[in-house]
Amino acid sequence: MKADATVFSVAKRGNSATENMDACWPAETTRLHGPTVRLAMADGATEHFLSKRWAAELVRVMARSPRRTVTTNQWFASALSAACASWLPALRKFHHDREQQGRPLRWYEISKLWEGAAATILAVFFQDDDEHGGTGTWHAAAIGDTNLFWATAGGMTTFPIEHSEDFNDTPPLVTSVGMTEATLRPRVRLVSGTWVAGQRFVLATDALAKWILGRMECGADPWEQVNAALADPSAFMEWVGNKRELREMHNDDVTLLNLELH
Amino acid sequence: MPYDAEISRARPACFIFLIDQSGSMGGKTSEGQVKAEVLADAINEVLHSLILRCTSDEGIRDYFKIAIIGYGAENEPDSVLSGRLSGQIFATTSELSEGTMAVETRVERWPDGNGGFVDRVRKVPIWVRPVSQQGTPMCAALTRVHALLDTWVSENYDHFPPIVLNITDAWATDGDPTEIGKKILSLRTEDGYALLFNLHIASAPEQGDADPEKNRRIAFPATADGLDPRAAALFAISSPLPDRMLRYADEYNVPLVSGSRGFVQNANIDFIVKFLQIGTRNVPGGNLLR
Repeated sequence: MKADATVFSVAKRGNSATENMDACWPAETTRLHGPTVRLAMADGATEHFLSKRWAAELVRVMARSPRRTVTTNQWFASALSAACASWLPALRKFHHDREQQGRPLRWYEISKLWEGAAATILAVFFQDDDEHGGTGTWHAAAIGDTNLFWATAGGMTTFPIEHSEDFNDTPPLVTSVGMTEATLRPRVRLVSGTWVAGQRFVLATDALAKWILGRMECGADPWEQVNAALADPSAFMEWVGNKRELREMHNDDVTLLNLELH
Repeated sequence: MPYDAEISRARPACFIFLIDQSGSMGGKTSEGQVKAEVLADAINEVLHSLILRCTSDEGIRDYFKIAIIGYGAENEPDSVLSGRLSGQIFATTSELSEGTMAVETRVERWPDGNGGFVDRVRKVPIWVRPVSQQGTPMCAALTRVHALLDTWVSENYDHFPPIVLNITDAWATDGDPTEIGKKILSLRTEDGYALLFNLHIASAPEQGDADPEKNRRIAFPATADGLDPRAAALFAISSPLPDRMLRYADEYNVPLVSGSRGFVQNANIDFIVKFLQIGTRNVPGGNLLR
């Protein structure tokens, strides 16, 4: 299979690009190919420490996970709990590195460190059904409110959040400390389907996903505007800025991945 | 009034903690602890929590401007901050993080997520020490708050409205706080009126005290029914909780109704903590959380 992934991300207004807590795999616009294509998006929780790193780690874990990872609650929870288990040594190294740099952790950083990092995660894997390509199956797994939209005969369908009013301040998160496979499993949502060449899939973090769903619910077509914004990164940034200015979209980090399958 | 203005470094929210330091705060709570110590611990904990909410990978983000004003001493009600923050009324979260009196270290055992335990170093920062002396000049304290907020709202009209949390174990000894309280409640930003919440700490029952009504706890009532006149006066200058705080109260197992006001009479330690958590948990739109 071949697929063109277009990726745009804009930090929350008032923040620098380095403060953007969203993470995406692939991280940049690219052409993907192979029998399996893996996409992932994570939204780091600002109130947790090192969530930007944690979100990046979660999408990296998904990018190298076996295909079965997104097919059951157990496999998905298992992959995430393994990431949690490897976070503690990473924290010790972070602590050690700061000491070595002559910048020991401040008291509030130590307190925050032990609370753990947190992020949503959405992973979507596509697989060729036959050696000729052009059709196949896909599976998605999610914890939290990072959303997937995909084109069907009846229009665009969405997962895991189906109504704009269901976005709130406290989505399920993957926290790096104190979570096990058993505690993660009930938070996992799954969906799957078949794909055909030419079909479109969109991954979006919550502020954009909520705007899209809101437009769909009032009978308007959000995709015309989204498509226009996909022209280039500056057009996307300008469009998001405009929506924030009009208070149509929450001021939050915004990331979009648009996938066209061939 | 929406109470959903964005809280950001460009538009920080304002909190004023008004703490009773009168002589009666040296008495015991209904659980037998010294009231001034319980209050100092609770304020230190909520300040710690606010700073942690502002801690990012790049350092402290100044989402909040905070004043802690004590009343009870001979002097005018004033900031209790000391050290490098001495003489400063409002402090940003980053200033508070560097302006502690002390940071105590405690080691606790925590689950490691794999069935074992790990030693966790817990840092306990201190800004407020217990104080208890003289009367309860609450009206003077509210007058000071009004003057501060009158300036603050005029300079920050597009911000989230200021929040005042007044914690006392007694009633004003310098007059009726109704008028000055209502003046505070009339201050506003474009996002809503100032929020004033009042909590009255329960005292240990006195010997021979046979009146159970005297120590009955009334938490976040929507009406003044059942309140004695002094409590009714504090209720009258307590704001209804905005919807978002009502939802947080539910998370803390404090079931409230629309119209519930930020007022608690005869609060025990548990309610002091909940009062502070609910009153400071005002993050709108998930803008801070995510």
